[in-house]
Amino acid sequence: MSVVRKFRIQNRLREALFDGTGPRIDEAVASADSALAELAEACMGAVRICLQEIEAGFSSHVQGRETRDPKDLYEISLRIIDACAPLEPKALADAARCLCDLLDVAMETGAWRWPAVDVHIDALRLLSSGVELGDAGEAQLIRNLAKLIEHQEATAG
Amino acid sequence: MNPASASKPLLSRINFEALSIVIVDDNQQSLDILVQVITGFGAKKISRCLSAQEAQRVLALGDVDMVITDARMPEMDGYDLTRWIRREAPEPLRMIPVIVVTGHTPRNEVTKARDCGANFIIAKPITPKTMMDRIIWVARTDRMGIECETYVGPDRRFRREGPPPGVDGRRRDDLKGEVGEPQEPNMSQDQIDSIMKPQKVTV
Repeated sequence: MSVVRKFRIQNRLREALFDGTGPRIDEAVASADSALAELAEACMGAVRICLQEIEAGFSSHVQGRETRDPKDLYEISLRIIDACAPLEPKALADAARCLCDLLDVAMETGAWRWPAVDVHIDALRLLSSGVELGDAGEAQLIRNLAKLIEHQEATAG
Repeated sequence: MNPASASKPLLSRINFEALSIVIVDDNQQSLDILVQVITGFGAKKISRCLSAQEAQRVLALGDVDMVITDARMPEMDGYDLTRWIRREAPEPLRMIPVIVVTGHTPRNEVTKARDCGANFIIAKPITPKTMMDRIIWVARTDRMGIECETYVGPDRRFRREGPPPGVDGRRRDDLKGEVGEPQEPNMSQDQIDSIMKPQKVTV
């Protein structure tokens, strides 16, 4: 049995953060929101580049896409999630995360279904196009993507 | 810290100016986002690192109060960096708060973050409010440190989930720590929170 040492951690962070000075917490959050908004244009550009890479390498018209490494698509999806921080709609990041989930299932089970990937790519296209779906419409879209992943998991096993 | 102020549910002012924070992400855009958020909070001393190795060099110089690192990076990822901090960084830094951020949070990633000694894992895309919540929680919570053969870091035993991987349990109902690759969907931030922290801080 290994020896376990238990000790008190000195919390320097607390002492520094809560010295009674500085902005109010809500002001600091608002300031960070404003700072983040400055990156919105650059982030939208990054999302567009990611979508172009998906179109060029993984969309339904691309011949030989079956030979591409699914990890590449996974990495592009992660970059979309990264870039979504200052962007609306938030569902864009959710759709990219659903694509990661789908690819996870596909890579783990070997059950690769391109129609399901195509639906996710369509969802990313739609959400990044600026079309107003409304909160309910976006939520429904993400629910449907989640159902697709559940179906993929159920049928793969 | 003043015991009277410690008992308040939430202190209303927060001062990032004196903090020295290391932010690590191999994706330049993602690094910019993290730096922008932390700068927005008022932090002045931020070290930007595009790799875990670069972060190691900065950490070796000492005087760092917190590390925020991306989970997925080539060569050395955020989990390995955290393990290095907990075991091999200069002594005063070994227990500094480490927050791991990641774009995809299936359960195995969250468990991995917890078991490498990270204080917290945050799902991207980052929002200032979530980041502030988690930093406040890390700052305000007194967690004991644990050091043993298989783990160095903050005490993980918020919930009854059996012994850590590689350790035989000491209780009759402990199961072996061998866990297969999970097949579960991505976890939401709320689900992550339920694993990583015992309480919520509301800003």
